[in-house]
Formats: sequence, structure tokens, C-alpha cells
Amino acid sequence: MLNSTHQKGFKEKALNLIILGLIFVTALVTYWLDQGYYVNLVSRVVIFAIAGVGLNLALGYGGMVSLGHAAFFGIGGYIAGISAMHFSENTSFIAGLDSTNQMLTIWLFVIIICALLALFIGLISLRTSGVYFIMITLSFAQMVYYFAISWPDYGGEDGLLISSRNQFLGNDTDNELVFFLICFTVLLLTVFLSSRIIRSRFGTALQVARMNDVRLATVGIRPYPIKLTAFVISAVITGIAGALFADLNRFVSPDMLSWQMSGEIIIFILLGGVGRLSGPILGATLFVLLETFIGGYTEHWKLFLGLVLLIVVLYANGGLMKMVVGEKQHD
Amino acid sequence: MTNSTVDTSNSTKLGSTVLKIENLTKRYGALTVSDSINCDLKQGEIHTLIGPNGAGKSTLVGQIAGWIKPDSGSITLNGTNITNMNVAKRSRLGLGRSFQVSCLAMELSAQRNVMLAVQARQGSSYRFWKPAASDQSLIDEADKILDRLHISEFKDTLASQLSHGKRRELEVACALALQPKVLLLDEPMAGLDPASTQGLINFLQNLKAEIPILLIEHDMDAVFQLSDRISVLVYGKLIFSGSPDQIKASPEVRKAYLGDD
Repeated sequence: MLNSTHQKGFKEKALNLIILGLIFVTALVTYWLDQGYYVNLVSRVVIFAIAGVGLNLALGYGGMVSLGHAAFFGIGGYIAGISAMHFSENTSFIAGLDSTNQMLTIWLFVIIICALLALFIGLISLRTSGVYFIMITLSFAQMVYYFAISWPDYGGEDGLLISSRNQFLGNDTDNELVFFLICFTVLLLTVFLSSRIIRSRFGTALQVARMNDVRLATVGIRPYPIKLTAFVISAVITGIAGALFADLNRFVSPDMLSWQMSGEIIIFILLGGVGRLSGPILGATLFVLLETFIGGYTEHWKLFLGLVLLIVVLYANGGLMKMVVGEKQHD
Repeated sequence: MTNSTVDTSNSTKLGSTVLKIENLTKRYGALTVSDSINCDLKQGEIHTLIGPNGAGKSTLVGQIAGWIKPDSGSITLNGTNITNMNVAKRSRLGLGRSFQVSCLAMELSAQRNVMLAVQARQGSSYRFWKPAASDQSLIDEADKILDRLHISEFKDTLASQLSHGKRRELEVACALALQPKVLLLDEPMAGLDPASTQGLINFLQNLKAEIPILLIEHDMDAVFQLSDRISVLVYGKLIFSGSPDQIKASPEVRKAYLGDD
């Protein structure tokens, strides 16, 4: 019994490494074959995966089904886009701040702004749970969405073009492989970070908040601030993914803030496996594969996405991870 | 917070009052479920609350633990007014409890459930880096407590796979891990087989010198074996309070609770 538990844990770890390895190799091979389009496609997978890993912390481990994470994804994107715009026009940022095109500085902004917004949204939303939590997070995200649409300085409904990608120290981010490597490093860091968080004392408290918040309060840990902290960390990770996504596409628009985007991030998790470390990576991979290859034949590819989602939810409630390595283990 | 006063000067002395409930009243519409209840728990004793179904025992427990807000009255733990504190804060101040219906992290092992309580007592749930499952300071303390309740052999069993009785004992273990000043046990014997019941009786008998216990229990044999004092709750009112012998002799109690015959 104990042995099989360990074997499953080992199998899951092995699978995590295999998935990351395959993504890495695919990017290298397609770059070597001079298929820049496909390298970018892999970067797209990686960025979606980062967003999913972020949301998974709240949704999978903390049981907070946020239908508002597009707000953080989009705000990350807009911060990257707005910085790039001001930098290329050589104008100053809001409030007289010097504009920058350095990703690291931009990400610092993304972290601060997403954390503050998530703190505000979380403070209010986490007073509710279940369906009400879903609706409140959705409404906050919709507010941000309409705010972006009605702000003509930054493109309004049309969105904002990024004339040249933001820079990462001295590297040429226009090179597909360099950009992929930046995204991939961020993914590795977020996966590592969340694996540590999940297994830490905080992570234990967070997961018990999901399983049974009465138990958590009874031992003397208030569930509310634990969940709020996780919600903020989750939002920050998703925000960074958004900043990368804007740079990848050299474009940011209110679509990144839409509720469909929030839904898609949830779908990555559902497809791959809720509360599984590699769940969102697998899910994002499958999503982009369907989007690209079935989307190449018909614009109604989401019909197939729906079917796949239906099958996964009905027959493998626990996503692809459960199909491959079985039930989730708590160490 | 303004109405909390701290006076722990004589709280550990034998016979001093640890938990004090004064004029506690709770109404649901026209129904008064707690009717100015006055009740206390002294160091070194087991004080048992009995009463027929619907007497308001669960509502009283809910108010003491902090899930239900009383309309008026006060609850004092070791001299600190806890009436308006949240559940978690009461636990941190030393109120340990078990539930009438098992309330555990079912997807975690027995050991992990106790480790969570140890972690909470250490006041260290905002550590984000070190793995909790292999944290020796949590493991050692949890194992000691599991051992004390004789449930070590189940430590790797998921709470969801434990028998009803073992879950009961696990809840007591979790409460003990908090090193509480007071234990509030809500029908801990319910659903236990006779051997386990006797085991738990012996355990609580030994424990009471260390931690006073407010007990809610239906099993009258256990109640008479364990209690130093018994209070009888009927229709939200405490109608009688006294030693087991006084309870047995009281005609009021016989009429209201034990039956006339």
C-alpha cells in the first residue's frame, strides 16, 4: 500500500519531467528546423501553462474557482504593452515615471499591481464561496474589461500594438528561441515555486481550507487570510503570464481581459487535472494542439474542445493526469 | 476587542474557574434555545452537560466554540472575554474541541491531521518553503499524541478510511495537539463499541487533572463514571446542576430527563 503510493508519487514526478522535457525539445527541434511559427506556438503553450499554474494554486489547491483571472492576465499584458508604447514614443509612464522596456522591471510592476488588485478583489470575494465567489470574481474582471475598452489612450476596443518586444537584459527577444527560453524559465520557476508552496506548512493549511475549513478554524488557523494569500500569489503568477503573452503576440487587447479568457485558463486546469502540478501544462498543451490543428480545418474547433472536455470530465474526472498516473496523492 | 480583560493570575490553580458562561441567551425567532445560561468549568474537573434531544446542547456548544453568536451574555476563558472572538482565535487561546459529527481533513492521513494541529499551535502557517510532511518537529509531536491515544497503528490511514470510532479518537488527538486549556467534547462516545468507550473513559479520567473537560454526552454510564459535576439542560434552560449522586436523587431531573419510572 505504502509502496504503491510511493510508486505513484514517483510516476507523477517522472511525468512532470517528461512533459517539461518534451516541451523543451520541441522548441529546440522546431527552431533548428527554422520553423519560427512553431517555436512561438510552443511559447504560447508555455505561457498558457504559467497562467494555469497560477490559477491552479487558487482553484486546484485552495478550492477558489475564480472566473476572474483574466483580469490579472490582461493587466499583466497591458502593463507590458503600455510600457512598450511609452518606451517607443519616448514618453514618460503614468505619473511621470520613466518608461522602460526591460521585462524584469515591467514584471516587478506586474507583481505589485496584480498583488494589490488581487488583495482588493480577494478581500471582498472571499467573504463568499461557491457560486457567489465565481460570480463576484467574474464581475470584477468584467469591470476591468470595460475599463480597458473605454480608455482610448491605450487603444480602447482595438487594443494596443507593441512595435517591438520588451527586452530581457541584453538578449535579443525577437529571436523565437530566446523568447521561448525566457518563457520556459519562468514556467520552471513557477512550477518549482508552487511545488514548494503546496508542500509547505502554508500549502497544507491552504489545502485543508479547501477540504474542510471548519477543521482549519478549529485548530486555530483562520481560513480567510490563508485563502487570500494564495489568491494573491495565484494572481501574480497569472499576471506575469499575461505580460509574456502580450510580448509574444506584440499585441494586447481587451480580449485578454474577457471572461472567455478566464474560462480558458480554467479549461487548461480541468483538461490536465485539478490540483496537479503538471495539470495546467498538459491542459494548455492539449488546448493549443486542438486550437492549431483542428482550428486549421474549421473555425468551429471549440466544438471539439467541448467534446474533449466533456469526455475528460465525465470519464476521467481528474483530467489527463489521472488518466496517466492515477489518483492524486497527498504526501 | 475592547471588552477583553486578561486575568490569568490564578487560572492554573486547582478548582479555579477556567471557563465561565454568564447569562448566555440565544433566540431563533420566538424560540429561546439558550435561556440565560450560567455555567462554569473548574480546573481539574469534568463537567458534563446532559439533556434530551432538542434541549439546546449543540447551540450552546456552537456559542462556546464561536460558530454561533449569542444575543446576550458572555463567555470567559481564563479571564479573557471571548464572546466576540472568531473560532480560530478561541482555539489559539486554548479552547480545544471535538465534534458531534466527525470534522477532519478526510483526504489526509491521521498523522497529517494531527500534524496540522501541531503546526497551528506552533503558530507557523505562513511558512512557504520547507515541506511540512517531512518536518520532524511536526512528526515527533504528532506521533507522541497518536501514541497517547493508542491509535499509532492507524497513523498512515486516511481519515476517510478510519472507522467512526477511530475518527472520534483522532479528533480528540487533534484537540490535544493544541495543548488546550479547556476541552470541549461533543458526544465523544457516540458510535464507539463498548471496549473503545471504556478506553476513552479511562483516558479522559486521566486527562482531567491536566485539562478540564466540558463534556456533552448521552451515554449515561459514561456520564456517571466520569463526571464531577453534571448540569441538565432542558428547553434551553439549565434546570439543575450538581454531583452525579445529587442528579440521580433529584426528582426534577428524573421527571425532565431520566424518565419517571
